[in-house]
Amino acid sequence: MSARTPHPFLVFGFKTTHDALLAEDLLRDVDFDAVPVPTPKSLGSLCGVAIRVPFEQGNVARAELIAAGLPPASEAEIEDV
Amino acid sequence: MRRLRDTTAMNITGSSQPDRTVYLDHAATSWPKPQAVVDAVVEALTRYGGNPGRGAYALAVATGRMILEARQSCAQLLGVADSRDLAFLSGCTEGMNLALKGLISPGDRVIACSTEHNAVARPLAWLASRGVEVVQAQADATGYVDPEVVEHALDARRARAVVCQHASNVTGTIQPIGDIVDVAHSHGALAIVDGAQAGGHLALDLGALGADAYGLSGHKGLLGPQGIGLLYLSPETEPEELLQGGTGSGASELPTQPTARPDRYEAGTPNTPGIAGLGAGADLLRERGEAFRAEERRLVRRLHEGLLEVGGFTVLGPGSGEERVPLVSVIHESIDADQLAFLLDKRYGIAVRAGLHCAPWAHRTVGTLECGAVRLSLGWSSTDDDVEAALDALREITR
Repeated sequence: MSARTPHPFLVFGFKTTHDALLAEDLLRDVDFDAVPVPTPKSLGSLCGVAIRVPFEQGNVARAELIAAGLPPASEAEIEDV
Repeated sequence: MRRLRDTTAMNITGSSQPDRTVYLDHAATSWPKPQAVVDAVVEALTRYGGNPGRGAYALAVATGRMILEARQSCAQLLGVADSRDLAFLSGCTEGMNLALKGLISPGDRVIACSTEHNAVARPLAWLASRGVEVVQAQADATGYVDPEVVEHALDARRARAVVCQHASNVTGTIQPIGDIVDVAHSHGALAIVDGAQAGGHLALDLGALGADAYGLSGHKGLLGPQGIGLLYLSPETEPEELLQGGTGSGASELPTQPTARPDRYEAGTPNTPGIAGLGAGADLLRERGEAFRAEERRLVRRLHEGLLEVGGFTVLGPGSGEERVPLVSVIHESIDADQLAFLLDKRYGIAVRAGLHCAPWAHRTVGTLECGAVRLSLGWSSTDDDVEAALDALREITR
């Protein structure tokens, strides 16, 4: 069995599904690789949908969201395989 | 006492029914629904099976996205800058209940226009039984509410809110709603509007109107299916929610309802097919609403004038030269409303509504509480043939 390389991502949590999907739209419109994901347990107080971007895009993506009036309610780093 | 004409000679048997239906009850619910609405409901039932906001698998996200897009389409149609300020509810009745019960407390005073529907009158009666003072602002005999009457009521003593319909489901009267909102605000009162008969039939810009709460039926002029409606709340208006429960968001481990919109007012699994249908209705109205409204105005003028030409009818509400939403209610000098409606249905296949239209306040205001009226109401699918068929039938019945 071959070992797979973990990929780091930043996950943004939002107060509502509405905001999460708006954020996905916004980020995709400016060519971020934004993907809806189940809210990870590290974002604890949220449930439902969160938005994941590659870790290296995280800072710029966060800035885009804040500029658009959609600041994430929380965020966490995860590693995917 | 009114003389009643004997219409039993028309030989209606219990099972007789014309093959066709001329549908003139759009004020109750629009029908037929546009094909795009039907298709959207079917698509929701067949393709959007996931529970929106309750999972991140593709089916649930697709459903959530459909709801997002439907909300945004409704917001664009209604002039709402932030679609989060629109809550999907079961209908305008729930919207009025939420706004009234969520914003008004025992000891408050409320000014309500005297033509309100039971969607407002009954929640107000419930509030009155709990210590809210309800004062009616009297409309005139055409159902028109003069803003000065509202102002006079507000001058007498401070009120928490003014509640007024945008248009009457009985008389078709369009209220001077912008002025009434302004009068309410100038006296420090909230403005709560029942827009059940306005949505789709009037061009709306809720942001510009400035009401604190505005309820809409989704299945009337907005052309969606039954069981869906909208409540607009201005960004500063925060009523207590009627329901608490799951939203798929917020702090799930906490016992309290999240405060973020729209989730605060949408506890429980949403009506996905209803929202899809309403979104399709909003899409259609954004594209063709002006044309629909122009045709409705033309047809309702013809209907109004035609009813006067038939003779024996009194038309409730504004005169024939004045704008109204596309409905006309009438009483006949010798035939009761229920008899007229029955004969129109059984003999001609014409669907109209008789009675008090869930609006006894309005009927009391225009003097028809004891007899009711027959309401003929038009919509996006109405045609000249529909109007002429109704006029011909009424000519024959009343001959």
